[in-house]
Amino acid sequence: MKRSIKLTLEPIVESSLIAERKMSREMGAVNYFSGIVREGEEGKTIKAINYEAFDKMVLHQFDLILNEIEERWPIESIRLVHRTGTVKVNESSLWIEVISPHRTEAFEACQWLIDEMKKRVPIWKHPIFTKVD
Amino acid sequence: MKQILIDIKVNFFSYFKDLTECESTVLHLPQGTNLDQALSVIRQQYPKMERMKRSTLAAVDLEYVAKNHILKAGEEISLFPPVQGG
Repeated sequence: MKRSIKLTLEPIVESSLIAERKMSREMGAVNYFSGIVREGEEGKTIKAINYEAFDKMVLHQFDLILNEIEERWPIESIRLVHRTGTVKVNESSLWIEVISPHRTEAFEACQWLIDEMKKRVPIWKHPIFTKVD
Repeated sequence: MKQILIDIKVNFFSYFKDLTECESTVLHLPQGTNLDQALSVIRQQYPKMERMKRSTLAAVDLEYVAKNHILKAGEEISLFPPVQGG
C-alpha cells in the first residue's frame, strides 16, 4: 500500500492534492474526506482553531494505523494531510484520500482511520474565540 | 548498596503545559521504576496534575505502553490530555 502522511502549517489545497493523484487501472474507488473547522465550538463562536501536535508521535501513530488498515482492507493508496497551527473557520484541517478497487473498503478504511486518529494520534485543538463586545 | 538513579525526561502537551507551568522536566528515578510509579512522582511534583489522573494519556517515546513498563535511561515520557485530531 502506498502511503503519504503529512503535517503542515500551510493551507490544504484540495485541487493540488487531487491533481497529484496516482492510481492504477485496477482501482475503481477514490474516497476523499475533508474535515473543516466549524464556526461553533463548545457552544461558542470561534474564528479559528490552533492545532497543536506532537509531530514525531503523530507520524508514528498514523503509520501504525495505516499498517493495520493494510492488514484489513485491499487498499492501493492512502494520502493524509493534517494541519497544525492556526486554521480559520471554513478551512480544511484534515484531508484524507483512500484508493481501492471497490467503494466499500474505501469508505470503511477512511472511517476507521478517522475513528482511530481520534483515539490515539496526539493532536489537540485550541479554539480561538471571537471577541464579544 | 548505593541506589542507581536514571534520568527520565517528561514532556507535557496541550493544557498540561499550563497545569505544570513547563513544557518538560527531568526526573531522577531509581532504576527499575515503572511508568505508573513515575506518574505518581509527577503528580507529587505537580499537584494540579492530580485532578487529570483519569484523563491523562501517557506515552514512552512514541508508543503507548502498559503502566508496568519499566523505564530505561534515555526514554522519554510524554503526558497529554485526550487527543482531538480532525
